[in-house]
Amino acid sequence: MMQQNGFEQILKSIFPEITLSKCAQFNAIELKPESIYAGLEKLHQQSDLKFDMLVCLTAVDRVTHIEVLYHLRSTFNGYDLIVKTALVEQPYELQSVVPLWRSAELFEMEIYDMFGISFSGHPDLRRLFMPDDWEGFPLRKSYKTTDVADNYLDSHKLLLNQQE
Amino acid sequence: MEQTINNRILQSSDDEFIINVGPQHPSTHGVLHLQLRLDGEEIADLKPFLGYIHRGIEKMCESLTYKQFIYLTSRMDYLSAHINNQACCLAIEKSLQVEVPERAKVIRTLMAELTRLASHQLWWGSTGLDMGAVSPFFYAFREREMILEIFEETCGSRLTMNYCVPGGVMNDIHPDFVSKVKKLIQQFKANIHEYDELLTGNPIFQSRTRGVGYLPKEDAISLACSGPVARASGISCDVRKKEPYDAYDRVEFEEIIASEGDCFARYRVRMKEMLESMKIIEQLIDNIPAGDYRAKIKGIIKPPAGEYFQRVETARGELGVFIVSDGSNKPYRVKFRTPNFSNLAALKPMSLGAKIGDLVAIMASLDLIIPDIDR
Repeated sequence: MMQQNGFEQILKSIFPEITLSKCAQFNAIELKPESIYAGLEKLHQQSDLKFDMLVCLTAVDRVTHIEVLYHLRSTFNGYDLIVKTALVEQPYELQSVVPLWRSAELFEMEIYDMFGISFSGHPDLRRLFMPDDWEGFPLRKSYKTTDVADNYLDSHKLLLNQQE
Repeated sequence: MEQTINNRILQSSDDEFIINVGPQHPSTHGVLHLQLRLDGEEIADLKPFLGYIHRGIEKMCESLTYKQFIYLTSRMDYLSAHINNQACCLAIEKSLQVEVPERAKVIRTLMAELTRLASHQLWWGSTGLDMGAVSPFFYAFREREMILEIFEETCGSRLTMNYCVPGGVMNDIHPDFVSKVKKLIQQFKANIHEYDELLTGNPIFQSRTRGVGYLPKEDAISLACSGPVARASGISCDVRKKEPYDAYDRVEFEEIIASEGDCFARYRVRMKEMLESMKIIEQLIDNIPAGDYRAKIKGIIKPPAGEYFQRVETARGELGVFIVSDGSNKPYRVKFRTPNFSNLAALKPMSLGAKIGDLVAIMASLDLIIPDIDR
């Protein structure tokens, strides 16, 4: 418990107006999309915290907004922290965190592919899993899986017939 | 369209050329497509292309119930199928606050360690095969076959066992389970010296792996590597030690860490891990508690709305299962943080400046399972 208090104090010293919440079993904070890079940079560099590992980067479509979750870990003291940010307005855009953690490169490509969030400053942003000409972003809630396969087959039927 | 095609080709100058490795290349152990820019024989740049076996498991999970989606995860890292199922079951149990019977915990842990043993044995055999040594494959399959037979007797299938259910395990262990596991341990202990004689001490193998594919500790942290890849670079990251789950809190074993960070270090870490797995099995096999093998839970699982996370140590590293529930009988969003996805990123820093022939050794030491990357 002592550890928890100390952790909260350090966080308060960096972000005075932050409220600490819970996400699963981890501590979580929420930052604004504009200040996400500056905030994460502080967490990466602050000498008491030193979050040197981006374990996971993912997103959840909450219909009204898309929530992006950064799961940070410190290999020095074993702290875990979730940093959340909510993207409300389209086009969804965030600043890339590849300069801070290199593991972000693949994670951001996956999110771009699945949710259509573009990351400015990413060295090689392309569709990671889906074909280059795929329409729509599969993990959004508005994406209907039933129509997709039919449409894709229809659009390629012409091509197949021509080849024959 | 033309622009997207151009994006897929690395730019090269006159004295360099581009080579495609895969999608169908035996050393990738799946369908991984790599593009290499070569300067003479040295790798100057490397770019992975994924998605050849993307099945959309995360999207599929959203349309299946909690009891159904667990078994899709067997198809991610198929060599750690049981451990993947275990992670999902633990996350669901956490959300329902179900207490798992002691017997189920021990059985699950035993199965997980047997899975790890079988997975590392296959890796050992295929590593030899990648380097041009054919015999290790047959030696590895001798013991692996015994493990798969044990699985078949108890679970009904050999690879994707689907043995974990929320609240415990599917059915009780087979009456011969204990005696067969003991026989396996006895045989493996009698044969382990052959593993070292065949490959570990082989001068050709050593010259192909020592000092090849060096991954510094800072890079491994920045790339969020886990499992034997990270431990061979000196990072302590074993989830079984850091956040013990099931029966790992009552067994004694050592976390294997090496500091060299080359292919041979990763080989040594996995070889020693096999011995540690044996240690865990030996401690548990005589002490399987009596009692129920499954806790009673409701037919339809509806976890309270919220977020649940569970991480486990698979044969390849840290698997994180993140479930967002909206209170209905189907998960709202499931995210799998798979170990191979992050470990793949380490391929580039390892192979830059290496000879193209070393790429096969580096990929063998990473032990990538492609369906786990693509999901």
